[in-house]
Parts: sequence; C-alpha cells; structure tokens
Amino acid sequence: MSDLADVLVPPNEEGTRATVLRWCKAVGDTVVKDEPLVELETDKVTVEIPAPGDGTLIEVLKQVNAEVNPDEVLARLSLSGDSTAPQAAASSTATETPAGAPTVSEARDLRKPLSPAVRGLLKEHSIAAGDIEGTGRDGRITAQDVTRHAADAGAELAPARVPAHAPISPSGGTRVPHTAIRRRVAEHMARSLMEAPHVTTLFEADLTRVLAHRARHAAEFESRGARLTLTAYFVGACALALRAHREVNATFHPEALELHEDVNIGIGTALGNKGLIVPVIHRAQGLNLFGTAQRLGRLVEAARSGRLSPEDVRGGTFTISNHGVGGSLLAAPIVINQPQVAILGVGKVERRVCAVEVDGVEAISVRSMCYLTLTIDHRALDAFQANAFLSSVVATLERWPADEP
Amino acid sequence: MNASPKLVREMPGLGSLDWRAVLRQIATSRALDDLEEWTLLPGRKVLYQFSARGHELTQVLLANQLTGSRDGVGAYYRSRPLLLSLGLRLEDALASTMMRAGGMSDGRDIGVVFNLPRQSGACVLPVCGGVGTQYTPAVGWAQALRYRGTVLGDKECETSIAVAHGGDASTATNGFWAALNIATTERLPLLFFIEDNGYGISVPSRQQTPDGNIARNLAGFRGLRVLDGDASDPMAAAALIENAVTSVRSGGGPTLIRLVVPRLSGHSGQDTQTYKSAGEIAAEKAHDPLLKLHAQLVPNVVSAADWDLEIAQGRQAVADALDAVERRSAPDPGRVRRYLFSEVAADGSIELQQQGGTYAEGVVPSPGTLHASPQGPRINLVTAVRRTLEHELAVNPRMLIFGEDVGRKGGVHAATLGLQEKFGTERVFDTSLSEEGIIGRAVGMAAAGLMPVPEIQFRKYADPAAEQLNDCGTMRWRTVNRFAAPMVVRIPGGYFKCGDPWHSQSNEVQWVHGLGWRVAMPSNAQDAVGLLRSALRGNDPTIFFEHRSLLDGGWARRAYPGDEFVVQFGKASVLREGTTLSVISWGAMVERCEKAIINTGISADLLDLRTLSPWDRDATLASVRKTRRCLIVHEDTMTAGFGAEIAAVIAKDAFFDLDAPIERLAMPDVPSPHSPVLLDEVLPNVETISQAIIALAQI
Repeated sequence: MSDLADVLVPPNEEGTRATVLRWCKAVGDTVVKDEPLVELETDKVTVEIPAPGDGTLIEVLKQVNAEVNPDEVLARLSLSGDSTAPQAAASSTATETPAGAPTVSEARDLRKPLSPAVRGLLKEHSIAAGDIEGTGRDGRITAQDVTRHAADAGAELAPARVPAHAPISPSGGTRVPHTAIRRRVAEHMARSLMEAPHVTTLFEADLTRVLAHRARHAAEFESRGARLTLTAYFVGACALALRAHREVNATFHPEALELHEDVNIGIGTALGNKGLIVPVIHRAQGLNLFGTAQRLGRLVEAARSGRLSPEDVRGGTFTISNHGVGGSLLAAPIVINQPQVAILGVGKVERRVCAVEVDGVEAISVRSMCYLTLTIDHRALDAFQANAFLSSVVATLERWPADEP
Repeated sequence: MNASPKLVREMPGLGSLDWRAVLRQIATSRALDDLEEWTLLPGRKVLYQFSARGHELTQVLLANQLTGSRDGVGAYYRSRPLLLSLGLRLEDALASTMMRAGGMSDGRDIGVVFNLPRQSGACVLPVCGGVGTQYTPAVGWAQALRYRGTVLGDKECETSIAVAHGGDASTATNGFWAALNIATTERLPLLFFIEDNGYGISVPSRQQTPDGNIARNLAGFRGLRVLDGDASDPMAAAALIENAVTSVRSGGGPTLIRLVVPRLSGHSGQDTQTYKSAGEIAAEKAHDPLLKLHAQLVPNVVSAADWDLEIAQGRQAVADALDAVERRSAPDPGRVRRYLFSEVAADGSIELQQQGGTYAEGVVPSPGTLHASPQGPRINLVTAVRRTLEHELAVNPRMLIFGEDVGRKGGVHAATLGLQEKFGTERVFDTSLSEEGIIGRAVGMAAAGLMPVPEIQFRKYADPAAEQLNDCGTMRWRTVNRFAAPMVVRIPGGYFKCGDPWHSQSNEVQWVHGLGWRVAMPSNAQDAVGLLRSALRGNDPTIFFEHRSLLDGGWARRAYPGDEFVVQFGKASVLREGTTLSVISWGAMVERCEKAIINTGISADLLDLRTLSPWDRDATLASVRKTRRCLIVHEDTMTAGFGAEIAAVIAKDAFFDLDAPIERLAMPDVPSPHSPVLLDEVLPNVETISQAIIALAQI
C-alpha cells in the first residue's frame, strides 16, 4: 500500500520569507529519497528541499515565484512509486460498451488494495473495481462489498454490512439479481426508444445467388483461414449501400446530421443467457468478402470467449441484428444502437413458394428467402431513405456475382 | 599366564561355559570391526564407524548370562558384541552400518544405535545417541518386571533382570545418577554393567569420577552391591559376571559391576587418538582380552588349531554377511516419512510395532464411543480427570500412574487424590525428584508392555526430561516401527491466579514441534475426559495438558460424559458459527474468546482445536474460507507459537479466499510474570480479544 507524503516548507531562521525559485522535478517524475525537489530562495541563501522518500511527484502546489511560509505544502509525493494520480474513476458509457465487460487495465487507487478474495469475486462477477464504493477501513473494497454489489447493483449502500439475502417475491417466486450486462442493456434499450422515434420498413430478399456463391467458395475460404457465413454477405451488401446512402451511416444531433467517413458495422452477437454484445467491423467499406469473413470469425470467437477488447466494441456506425438465427422470421422494431440512426434485422432464411416470371411466363418457384427489416430513427431519416437503402441492399444480395470472391 | 585345567574346573559355574562359543563370538565381532575399519570406512560404505575392539570378552560373557525370558538391556554405541551374542544377525548389523534396506532401522539411524525386539528372550531397548540415556529406561524395565510379576502374575518376570550397559564416562551423566537413586531406593532387579576403558573420547575417566574408579567411589552406596574386575583375567571376569547376574536374578537387589577393558580403537572411525602416547597405546594392546584369553584357553581348554579355526570362521561369517548385504538395495526413499506415529493399514487394522505398549502384546482396549452421555451435576476438570484415571486404572491392569507427590499426597493439584489408596502402591506411586528419571522409566515400562502415566508436576519442569521425551517421540520412526513407547504424560501448566516463569509456562508448541508426540489441550471437563481416555487407550505417546486455571474453573465444568466417552484427536469443536470472522483457539483462552465474541456482538465462528498434534486443518480452512477473516488466540508466547503454524497453513491453502490479513493474539515474548497486575497486562483477555475482533471485522 502506498502513502502520500507532503513536502513542507522548512522552518525559517528569523522568520525570513521564501519564494519558489526552481522546480527540479516535474509532476509524474520518479524521485529517490533526499533527491532535490525544489529550490527556495530566501534573503540569505538558496535552500534545496529534498524528497522525503522514494516515490513519484504527483502534485505541485506552489509555482515558481510563489511566496511560501514555513509548514506550507509545496508538493505531494506518492511514496510507493506508483504513478497513478488521484482521479475520478472512469465511468463506462453504455453506448460504447453495452456489454460492460471488465477492461484489462483498471485505474487502481493505491489507497484501496484488492484482497485475494476481492480479486476473485470481481473476476467472477465481471465487475470493475472502480464501480464499487468500499466500506472497509480507509475505503477498502471488501469481499462483502463485491458480493453485495453483484447481488444488488444500483441499490443504495447500507452503512452496516449485512449479508446479501435473496428476498422472496409476493407471488412466492425468487428474484434473480441482474448481472452487469443485463443492467446496461436495459438502460440502453429504454433510452434509445425514448429518444428516437422508431419506424420499420420490411423487404424480402432472394438469397439464391448468395447461397450458390457460398457453396462454391466456402471450402476454399476455410482453407485460407476464414469461415464463410451468410453474415459476411450481409455486411458486404450493407457496406456498399451505406457508402451510397450516406445519411444512413450517421449520427443525429439536434442541429445537424453527422455523416461518418468510415463504415463501421456492428454485429449483434448473443451470449446465451448472459446477454448480447456488439463487436464492430471497422472500415468495412475497405474489405472484400474474404476479409469480412476473416474479421467476423475473429470477433465472434473473441465475443464467445469473453476476450473482446474495448476497441472491438467501440465506434460502430451501423448495426446488423441476425435475429433470424434463433428462428425468428421477422422482428420489428429492432432497437437502434445509439448513437446510430438505423439498424438492419435479418430474419430466418426459409424455402418459400414464390410467384416468378420465367421468360415472360408466370410460374411457381421454391426459393431461399428471408425478411429484412430496417428500423430507422425518424428524426434523422424518412421512409424514402429507408426504402432506398434497403432496396440497394436487396439488389446487391439478389445480384451477387457468380464468382467474385 | 596360563590357567591350568585344575584351576578351570575349580571355578564355580565355569565348567559349563562353552569357551569355544565365547571365542567364536569374540572373533566374529572383531572381524566385523576389522572389516568396517579397514575396508568399509575407507571405501565410504560405512560413514559412522564404532569399533568394540577390547570390549568383546566382557560383553559376550554377559550375554551368556542373560538367559531370562524377560531380560531387558539398555545399551550404548559400543554394545555390538553384546547384541551379536544376544542374537542380532550379522547381516542386520552390517546392513545397519552400511545404510542398506532393512537392518535395525532401514537406513534411518546410525548402525550402532541398536534395537532388538524380542517376544521371549533377552531384548535390547532402542539405544539413543545421547550418552547416559540408557539408564533410566533400564530402570523402567526393571520396575516393569516387578510390576508384571506382582500385579499381573507374570511368573517369568520374577526371574528376569534389567541390565544398563555403559562406559565409564557415562557414569557422570544425569541419567546414571537418577537410575542409581531409583534402583537403590526401589530395590529393583537392575545390573549396572560398566565397561571402563579409561576414556570418554579423549577425556580421561579421572575427570568423570574421582580417581577414575566408579566402583570404589560407590562402594559405600547403600542398597548397591558393587563388584570390580578386569578383563585381562578372562576367567576371573567370567566368574565375576556370573556372580553379578545371578545375584540380581535371585533378588539380591541392584548391583554395579565395573570391568576394566582397553579401548583398542579410537572412539570412532574419525578419532586418531593423538591424545594417547605411543606407550599408552602399546600397553592397551598388551591388555587385549583376546590375547589374555588365548593365554588362558590354549592349549588346555581349546587347541591352537581350534582357536585358529574359530578366528577363521568368524572372518568367514563376516565375509558371508558382507556378500549378502552388498546385494541389498538402499532404503526406499518413499518410505522415509512413515512410522512417525502409529499407522493404519489399508484394511483398517493397525500396523503394530513389534514391541512396546499393550497393543503389541495383544492387549487392545475397547475403542470407546464418540457419543457423550452426560450424567449428574457438573464437575470441575480436575475431578473429571481423576474419575477418568480411576476408571481406566480399573479396566486396564497394565496402567500405572507415577510422579512427584502423586501417591500419598494425591498430587499437588489433587488430580490423583485417593487413587493410591484404592489401587495400591504398585500402581500409583511417588517417584524421586528427577524428571529425567520419571520419563526415562516410563520409556522402559512402555517397552515392557505397560501403559505408564507419568506426571510432570509443572510444565516448566519437563525441561530436565526433554531428552527422554524427545527420544521417546522419535522411537517408532528411528526403529522403523520395531519399537514404540505409548504413554500419557500428564503436565499441568499455564497461568492461575498469578503467573510466574516456573509454574505458569504454557509452551505447548515445543511438543507439537517435537516429533512423534500427540498433544491434547482440553478447554473443558468433557473434552478432558474424552481426550485423556483416548490417549490412555491409544498406541502413541501423548502429552495431556491440564491447565491450572481450568482445573477448578467454572466455565470448564461439565457433567461427566460417561466411562466410554472418547474424543478423536485432530477434531476441533465448533462452539459458535457466524459469518464475519473465524476465531481459532484452545485451552484456557477458549472461554475468553467466547466471552469476547458475545461482548462485541459480531457474528463469528469459534473453533476450539482441542488437540494441536494432530490439529483440525480441514475445519479451520473451511471456517476461514467461509468468513474470509481469521483471528488466532493463544496463551503461549507469540513468536513461533502454534498460531504461526496455523497462520502459515491458512495463508497457503486459503490464500485466494482471504479478505483480510491473518491476525494472531498471544502473550508477548516474555516469561510469565508473577504479579497479577503484570500477568493481566500480558495475557490476552476478554477486552483485548474483543478489540482484536472488532479491528479485524473493520478491515
């Protein structure tokens, strides 16, 4: 555990005043015991003030030329050598990290060491230490603080520590405390719907050519290290359409629509009962199908094993929701992933009976079809842009070239 | 000089002595010494080498006299000719010095630290490395012979004797004098067999006893018959030895025989004897009993050809033994941790030692019950102890209680009040003021198949007995389960209304760290009954700590739990269950811990360990894993008190469950102070324990 040490102005002989002449070290510098930190000038002499111990200079309170008196604090050292300055714990924004997965490096206040039990519990419950107010001595986070936080997140801290109970509901059932992910998803969804008027338009897409293409190229992609899924085609089609319909790749502001340069497509990924997370394919406009498939594979794998980095879930400009893989034909509305303006829902791919025209003759055909829904923020977009965008997407899919990789 | 055939025939008892057999034994022993000194030691096949050259004749003659079926010998490192003559196989002797598998200790002890377990016929008690440790165990054997004869009706014991075999320097040791006092005041069938070679390594015998002749100095010792002889006259020595043994065997009381012998080698293979002049060494060689024997036997009793034949056969026997031992493997390293305590085989049966304790003779007490049946009013701990001793004396005729003031007075703490009246002076008796003697004789008694229950009057007074206690604890391991000495040593200690450095010491950790001892620290009368009975019916040596402030203390009173109630060693008692922290304690501190927990209102586990060897690691770890915080409270001083061991185990095995550093509260590193004001300052009390609990809960 580190201590803070104040560097004081020493007592003066005959009450002479002193001014700060020169700082020998700057904030953030490492210092060793007895090393000169600052020079004070008096009427008679120049006095060197040494560091009281080994550590890091974290705060300078008197600047050059300031007049200083005996016992005033000139500076503060952190004596263990840790360079973390006292700062407010970073609060994670729900828009950037809806999943709230613990980040690799936590800003750690050295006045609050984490006991072995606390470390284990934080990891187990996927909680960041910075989220918890410690009730132990000197503000230490105790094991009970963590278990209580995990069980009852959002509740007021009780002054006395009592073991967490699972209260029985009036109907005789039990209450399942929310995980961190659940809380964030709940907050995000409610806010998004409240801020943005959601309107949905429905198209259907014939995936015959896409499926054929996939059948032809899947093995080859596999051998080159990328698993070729349908999602890759949707990402590709969306990327193209978002370049053509730039107003859909945007963020709504009260005074302006911010059009984004890069197309960063987030893929809504289910983590079973643990919730959902949206890893992002950055600069999708620059990727061919293979590149997209490769990137997708890596992100989905990382998501499933809990190893997404903060970068992986930030900066999305558009989101695709593959709700169809769970069997759903159609979903509307789909909650927009703020601060985006639209979200694409992909329904289940089904063999359906369609009326087609073959050589001018009407016929019945069985085709592989799926429903696509686009939910838009009607503040930013109208049905006109929505339909134009979705038409582009469908057209790209239905006309997928036979052999383009 | 030659003894004429007429002279030989005139010597009483010697007509039947098989001199060729005597010669053969001497030749074998000497050949073994030659082999080790000249071949095996230089060849690093034997690392610690002790010759008996010059001592063989007297020892072989002694062995010839030890014909009693229950004779027992306390020996020392130069007793090999005696051991070989009593039946130690050459191969086992050599395997022991060459550190091969098997032998007397399976590589665990030096080859001349002997032991020879016997169901019938002279046995040799486990030798110890410390000089003088052989005496009081031999006394114990002698006392056991009398006990078995008079109390158990074992007729064979009535004509058997104990022998304490030692060198001249050993007569200066504490053990020798304790044994002398006990043997003579109790009039025991004990023969002190002293071989005087004039040296204790390099120190001459005149520095051990005035003028170097212990026999002359003890000539006037009341109750002791003293004989003095010289091995350079083999015939006379034989007669004297026969006289000595017969005298003891026929009830003549304790006898000391001193025989001058030359030490024809250094003290050990490492000793070059530079402290002896060339003239001295030459004189010693000239007094070689083998030379003297040759002069007396050849040609009238043994022909020259037969003499040479015996010498040659001795060498051959040793060579054959060497061949056999060379083929033996080194001891199995996988076994080295075994047999510190009594072990249980896979089928649940005990792997019994060959000799020592009652189990080895087929006398296994009833296991008792873990179920307490409290009846009647609460009694204090000392009454509970007394009642338990009384019942176990009644059901186990091999049990005997002894110590200072335990008989007539009934014990300075009244723990044995009335027991001598009820069971007699053979079974409950007072001892001389020698703790070395008390524990030493307990060792001999245990080896003789009894259950000795010695009392050390106050914890601090175990210090003089430390050597015997340590050696008792390691006996099973050193002899690889050939011998063990189960006993229950009752030790009152701890503070009372005042303290002091002599009567109030706790220091139980010394015996936890001491190898081979079980340690019981009851906090209340019920546990005291169960632990004491468990120890009295057990197969391991046990220290039973009777805390002085608990003997009559109110909190410790319980109803008597029944005559079959036992408490398992290594099982803590959970007195309270809680969530915030775990308090681990034992002995007199348990009461204070309970009061402190109630005082603070904090929800806490309270574990009374009850025994420290073994101790309940599982219950302790389970508790700490649950509460994540631990306070250990003990009366013993802080540094390296048993709390340090507990803390280390928790820190390792429950590290990832801990939410706070492990806390210990104990007496500071000072002896117990006499003034109650000072005592109250240093002992953990309800107030300081409460503060520690609160502080720990708030980390």
